[in-house]
Amino acid sequence: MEYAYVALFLLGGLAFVGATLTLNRFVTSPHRPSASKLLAYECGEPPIGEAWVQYNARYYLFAMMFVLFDVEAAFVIPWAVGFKTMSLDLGILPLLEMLIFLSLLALALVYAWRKGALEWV
Amino acid sequence: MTPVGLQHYLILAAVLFSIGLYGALTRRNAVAVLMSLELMFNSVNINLVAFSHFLPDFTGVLFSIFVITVAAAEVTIGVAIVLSVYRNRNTIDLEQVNQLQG
Amino acid sequence: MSSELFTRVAQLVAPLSPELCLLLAALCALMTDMVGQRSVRRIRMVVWVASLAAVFCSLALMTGPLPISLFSRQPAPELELTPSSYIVDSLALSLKALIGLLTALAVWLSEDAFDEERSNAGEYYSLIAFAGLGMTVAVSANEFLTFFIAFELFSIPLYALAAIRRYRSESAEAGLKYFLAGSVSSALMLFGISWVYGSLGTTYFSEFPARFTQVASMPHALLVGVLMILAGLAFKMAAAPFHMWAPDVYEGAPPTVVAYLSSAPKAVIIGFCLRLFWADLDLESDLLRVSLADGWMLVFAVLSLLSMGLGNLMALPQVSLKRILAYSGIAQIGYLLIGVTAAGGQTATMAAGATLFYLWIYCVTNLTSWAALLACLPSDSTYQRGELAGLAQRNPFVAFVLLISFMSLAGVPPLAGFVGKFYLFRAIYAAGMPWLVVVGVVNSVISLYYYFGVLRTAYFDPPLPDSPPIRVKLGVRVVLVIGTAASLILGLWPGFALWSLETAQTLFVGR
Repeated sequence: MEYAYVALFLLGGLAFVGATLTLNRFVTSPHRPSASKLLAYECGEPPIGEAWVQYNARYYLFAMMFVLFDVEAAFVIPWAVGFKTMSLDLGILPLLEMLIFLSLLALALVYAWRKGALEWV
Repeated sequence: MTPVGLQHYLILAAVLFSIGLYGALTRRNAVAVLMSLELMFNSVNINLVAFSHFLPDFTGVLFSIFVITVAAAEVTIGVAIVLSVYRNRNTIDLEQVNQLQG
Repeated sequence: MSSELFTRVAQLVAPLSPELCLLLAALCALMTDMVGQRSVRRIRMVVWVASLAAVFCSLALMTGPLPISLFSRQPAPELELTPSSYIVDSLALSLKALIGLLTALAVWLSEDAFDEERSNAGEYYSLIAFAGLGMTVAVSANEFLTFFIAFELFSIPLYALAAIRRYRSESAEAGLKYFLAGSVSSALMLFGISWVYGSLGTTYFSEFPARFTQVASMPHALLVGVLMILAGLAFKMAAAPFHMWAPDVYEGAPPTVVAYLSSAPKAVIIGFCLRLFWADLDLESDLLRVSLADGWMLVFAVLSLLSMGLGNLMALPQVSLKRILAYSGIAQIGYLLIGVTAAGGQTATMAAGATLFYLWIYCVTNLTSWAALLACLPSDSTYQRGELAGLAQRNPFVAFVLLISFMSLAGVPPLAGFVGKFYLFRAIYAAGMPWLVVVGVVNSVISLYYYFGVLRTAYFDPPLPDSPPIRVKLGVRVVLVIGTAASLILGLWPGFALWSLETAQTLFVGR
């Protein structure tokens, strides 16, 4: 039965979006495009090419670095949640382990930095 | 309404895995293949978390965290290799990247 | 408090010393690479010293009390043994010694191979050290999560190594193919692991026997899981019918890398098959037997049959030396799988010992034959068979090494490969599958044809008029001497071979 709420939310959301879009037809002015209307307004730039361009390969490097370091947070969060219980049993060990882990990560970051992976060439 | 049980998760995971495997074996675009691989790894995660919940046993959840991390590392090296193929060949179409044959 | 901590750390460090050597080497290589570009020699030195140290640590640990279980967890009430995720036993240590040796040989082989490249030599050596680290951890893994992490720890550096000549399109393509095949195999294996975990409720190998009673509820789930794990492993070691990637990757990747990635991962996977599927080498409680009842040995027998047959037949028409070695590697995996099959039979200890013995011989001989090709062909060579013409006159030493290692791979009598194969065939005969002996012998005869084809070109064809002189670098020469000596000693001195085989067998008794 608890899934009824989900369905309710779904219906409510769809109804709201549909209603706003329909309302839009009545409130705004009639849609009659012409060449001069479609021009960029005053200080805007006329567009060059399409939006579906290939991104520069340099972005991939940053994206890859981001993904790697981002995912490591998956280990830190459970550690932080369980830290209190762990340190009652094991004393300083959990802290040391996380420090080793983070220093390895830091080493990797410094390596990437020294190798110029963070430069914008 | 029938309650959502273990088999629902397992079927979902199996379907996702099959879609991923099909994509990895048939897609021509190397980036699409990487996405299919990600699908396969994530179907494993669904399996692990579902088993972990229904057994119940904690290892599965732990395992899935490691799978997420390793999948990220795999895909990163995959993207790096695809990029170097692109620099050499100007294409990532796997049917054209087939110089080595015999 | 602090002394207690110290003791705990010390208890951890000693059994982990081979792994720590390689870990430190990898980190040192990274840091040296970070500081200066001109220290390639120092980085090489660090990595090969560390891998030799790993060999010595493994051998030294073998003399002590075994097995050592690390990272144990609370035992379940129904178990006698404490399940541990990491086990340092003789099987693991002997494989660690082999992996350390292969790593050291690969590093010697790579002398000057990357100095002229823009790709950084420092990266290359630290990737090799990381791959070695992953393998040494993988052979000790006694639990699926540990194995999976270690498996990826050696796979990912190997993908990068295959693509390391990133300014050459064939190396990048080889990297891509290796990566795709490898990732699909990891995903398959992982999916299988999730099913085994789901039906047994644990990832600890030592808990499996106690959990088999509950399998009755989901026997098919376990079967599917085990078969998918097996498929993933077969992909990784290029056993037919999962071998398609191997020839392309071997052809495109740099030869020094191929020498390493065509030998060391196979050692890990074969060792893992012995550990996982025939867990205690007793006949009641291993994974495959429970999930497959009567067909358990047949699965490995079929894999072995297909690998030998396809590998040898596909090698016959090849003219590229790299492809010949790739298909011969597929066939050799077939011979090794004969041993794994036999390890499921009544004479498990003998079979496992023979497998381990042949594994050592095959890995070293395979690396030596790559080293011989690397020594006599120029770096821009396409590795066609014709380029070896007149090798016996141009450089008799390399030609002799090639002769010894190819004859050993083919299993010609006075050499190590023959002794190893003989023990494998004896083991499978004792395990009650004489037809596999026949298949194996027929395949060896077929393989003679292409091995001797290469040797005929090297010995009887006149040298090409403009062949460049052959200068063998010191590092490569070391590898050649070690590999040839191993093949000759194990073959010509049966006492030593028998002694090593018996040692290999006793490794399994004490576990």
